[in-house]
Amino acid sequence: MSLVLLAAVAVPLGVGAALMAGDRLGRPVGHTGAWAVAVLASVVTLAACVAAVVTDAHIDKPWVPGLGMRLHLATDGISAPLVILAAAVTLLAVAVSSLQRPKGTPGLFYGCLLVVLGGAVAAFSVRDAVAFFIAFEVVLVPMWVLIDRFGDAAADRRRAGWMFVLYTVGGSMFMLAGILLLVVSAGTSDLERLAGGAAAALPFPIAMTAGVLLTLGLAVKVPLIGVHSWLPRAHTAAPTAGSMLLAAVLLKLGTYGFIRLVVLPLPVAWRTIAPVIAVLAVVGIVVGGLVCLVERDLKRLVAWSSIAHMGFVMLALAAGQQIGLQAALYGNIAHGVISALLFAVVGALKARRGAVDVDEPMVGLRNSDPRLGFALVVGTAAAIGLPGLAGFWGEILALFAAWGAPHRPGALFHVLTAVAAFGAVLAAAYGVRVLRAVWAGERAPEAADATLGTSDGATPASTAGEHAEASASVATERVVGLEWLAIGVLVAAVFVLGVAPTLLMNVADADLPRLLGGLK
Amino acid sequence: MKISFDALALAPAVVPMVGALLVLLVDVVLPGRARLPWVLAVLACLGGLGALIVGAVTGGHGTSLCDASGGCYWQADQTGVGLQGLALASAAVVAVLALAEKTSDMPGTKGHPAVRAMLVLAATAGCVGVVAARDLGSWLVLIELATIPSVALVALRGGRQAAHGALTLLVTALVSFAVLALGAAVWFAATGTASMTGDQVLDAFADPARKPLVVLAMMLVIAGVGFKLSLAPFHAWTPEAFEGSGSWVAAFLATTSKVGALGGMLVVLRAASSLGSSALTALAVVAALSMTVGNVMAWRQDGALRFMAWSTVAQAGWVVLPMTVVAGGSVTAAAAYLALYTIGTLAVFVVLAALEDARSREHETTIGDLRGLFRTRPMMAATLALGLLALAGLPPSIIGVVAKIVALKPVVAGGVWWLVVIALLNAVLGVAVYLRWIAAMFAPVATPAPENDDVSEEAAAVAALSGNEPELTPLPRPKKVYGVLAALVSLAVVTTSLAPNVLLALF
Repeated sequence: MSLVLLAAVAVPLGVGAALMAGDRLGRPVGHTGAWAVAVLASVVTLAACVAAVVTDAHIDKPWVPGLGMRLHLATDGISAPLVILAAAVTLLAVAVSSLQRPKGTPGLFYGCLLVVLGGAVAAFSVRDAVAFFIAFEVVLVPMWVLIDRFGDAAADRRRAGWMFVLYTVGGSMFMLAGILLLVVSAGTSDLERLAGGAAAALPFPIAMTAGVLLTLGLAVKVPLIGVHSWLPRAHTAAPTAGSMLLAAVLLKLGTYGFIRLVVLPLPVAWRTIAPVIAVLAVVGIVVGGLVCLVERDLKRLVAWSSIAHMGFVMLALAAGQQIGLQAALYGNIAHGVISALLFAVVGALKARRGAVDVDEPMVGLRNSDPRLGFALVVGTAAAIGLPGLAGFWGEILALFAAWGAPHRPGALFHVLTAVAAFGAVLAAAYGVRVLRAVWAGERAPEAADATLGTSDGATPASTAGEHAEASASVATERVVGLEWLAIGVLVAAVFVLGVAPTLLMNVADADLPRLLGGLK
Repeated sequence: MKISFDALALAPAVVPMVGALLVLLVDVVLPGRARLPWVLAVLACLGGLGALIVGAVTGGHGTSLCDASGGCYWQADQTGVGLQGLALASAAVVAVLALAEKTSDMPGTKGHPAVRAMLVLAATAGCVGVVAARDLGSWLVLIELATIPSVALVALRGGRQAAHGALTLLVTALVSFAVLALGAAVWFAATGTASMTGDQVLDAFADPARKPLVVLAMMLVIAGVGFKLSLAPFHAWTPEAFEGSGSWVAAFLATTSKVGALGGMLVVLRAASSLGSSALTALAVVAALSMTVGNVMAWRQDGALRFMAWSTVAQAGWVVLPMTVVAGGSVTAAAAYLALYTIGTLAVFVVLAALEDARSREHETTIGDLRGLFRTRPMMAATLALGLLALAGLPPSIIGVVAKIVALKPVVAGGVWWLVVIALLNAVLGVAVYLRWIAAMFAPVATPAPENDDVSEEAAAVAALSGNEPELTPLPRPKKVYGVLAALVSLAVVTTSLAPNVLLALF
């Protein structure tokens, strides 16, 4: 069954490359054709990922003997949910794009989406540290193309693309140094063996240097506060599908890298670094929440809330222990689903109304498009962390793990837990702010009262010319078809994860005790 | 003294040399043929490559001119054979580029095709030979044979700029020759022998009286070869010479010449690598300086040839990076990086030559000329992008990433952290440098104002969809041969990216 896993990596990469090449070398591919190919490829990838996880597929072949690098692919409890999340969200992102068409050549657009997916699946399933780095780099250029070519020109996509590339490359270079040091001094690049004690035996200074280098590099990708400034720009400029992938795939690479390369192989070094990370994570939670209270652009607001949510994930990771890791893994997936949902909703809004300014009075979504409004409510409520929705378990477990973190400066983690809980309250505040402005709508009563015929004449010409136009078009252009289907699936996923968290936790439970052998 | 002689081992250098003579001879018999000399040149390079492959397949050990005691004056080990193959293959590509060039727009002269082909072959023979030379005399002669013809190549281009470039190159070549000759003299004084195999150096190094001499000789050789590799601070000739020489001559300077120079350096450093001397620290400083200066300057260039010149400076730093530490794989790593650099650089130059050809050389290719290339000439744009990404070390050119990892690994293992940090910062800088050119190719052709950006893109996309692809620039289609070359180089990048071992196993 090893072919399934190979297909999960090769199909998106191959089809993506073929789409890009076919678009340029032969006659340009039309939108429908490119879209159909992309849907087909992502369905096949998703099926292959599921099959690989179910059958526990495994490939191990020499690839670059000169570097001791092997083509070693396998999934376990940590990577399986991430692989499936990446494939599923990509499929949904492609579906969303059927109505929010890319501005530009469609073959290139869908090709880039697929290559990002292929790179992500490869990164999540490789069992070799150096190969992980290479797979990590594969997603870089296509994501840059998505931002630079298909982004929102009003949001200065060029600058956003450059910041994304340079920050990420800068981070990955630190990571490379850390990986090389780890590999050279432990004598193996096999992640299983590194986690199984090969790296734990390193002398403390070397382990610490490697840990710090890896932390510096991966922190950019997560992102932790301080090296986060590429994220809001990239999200604001990226097309909807790009934003969904950024949130559900690229940010996950950062936390996954932390688990695989730092937490598991270098437990001692991680114990030393963790308090600093925890502080940064909590600062990120609070700063992200505060920015969300004042940020006016809705898409940027969602991006900032991502920083806050990744803060919870990193806090859980810093707390350590099985419960911390469990919370981090859970929060990771939950954040992927929730922010993919939010970006899909915001993208749908942006496609119809233009950039949404939270402070401007606007027609409420509950009037103009109740279904999309419902999706927004679910997404926001999940982001706030309401029980019964996906966000709740990640946050509560993170706080729980941080409170009980052993072998740490105890008071520090208690204080951090309290501050993080305050951050969760901030999330409620900005969530309500978004819902009041976008879902309820300041202008809702007038728009509802005014009959269709008089609405144009009744609105004052000063502010609302474009709004009237927008509301008229929104009234006719509800979210339907595939776009709604994609959003609906994400809404359902938010509910399922929230109601039955054990579904996901059991997957990791099987592997965590074994992997955590060195961490206890 | 009886000297044994293995013709097959010598053939890779001898075939191009014979080819050079043949070119001159044919020119006397059949004068005025513009293409014939280049056809011969291509055949001679391929012949040399063939001899190399035959030698490798039949299990020849690559040694020749051995005396009774077992010491050989001609030794090409696996790394050496790989470098020789690299030199011959890149020279063959350059010769094809020269063959395809329009002779009619050669300014001033009729182009002297025979002379130029002879020069290319002679320099190639020098590059191939210096890799295997193991005695001081032939090493010195061959490394100059690899250099001096390039001066004439640049000069024969004609025009003021070419004369300027040639003059700079000539002065540099003379200085570097002087430095190398001095280095050789000191070497001889220190070791007491003209042989460059390791033992005598070790003996000399162990002797406190002779140790300073050995170190001095190393320093001088590094400086002398540094000129040829265009390592900073010995790089000043590079932009002038590249700009003056046109794309295929620049391609020759950037690839075949560099292989020869690195080969020459390896001969010396291999002897020195067991020493761990301060010469290696000097080399580390030079590597760091090269990368930084090259990248910073390349970032600002708008002319393609100047850009490639500075890129060469930066990449030369990466090439010598692994040799700055004493480790088992460092020589192989340097050779592997050089191979990647050669492939990536050739990809860029093939496209530049094609563009130059299509535009009939109205002016030098600049970054502005590349706008919309992905739409107008997708094949060329893809090749250029693969080449630039390979140099930057980014997927999809995975071989670029692998080569950077290979080059960095010995340095990390050696624990030279200041150098690792500088190298990594330069990797980031390099990404910015090379992506800037790729971004230019993606950019729409005519953007009068930023706000029209999307409109024009959409219009173009609509036009593209409806099947009548607009000819965005009046760029005539480049000759077929450029397409074939571009496809070959792209294939090399893709193959080595999927299976990096194809490249790494050569060295």
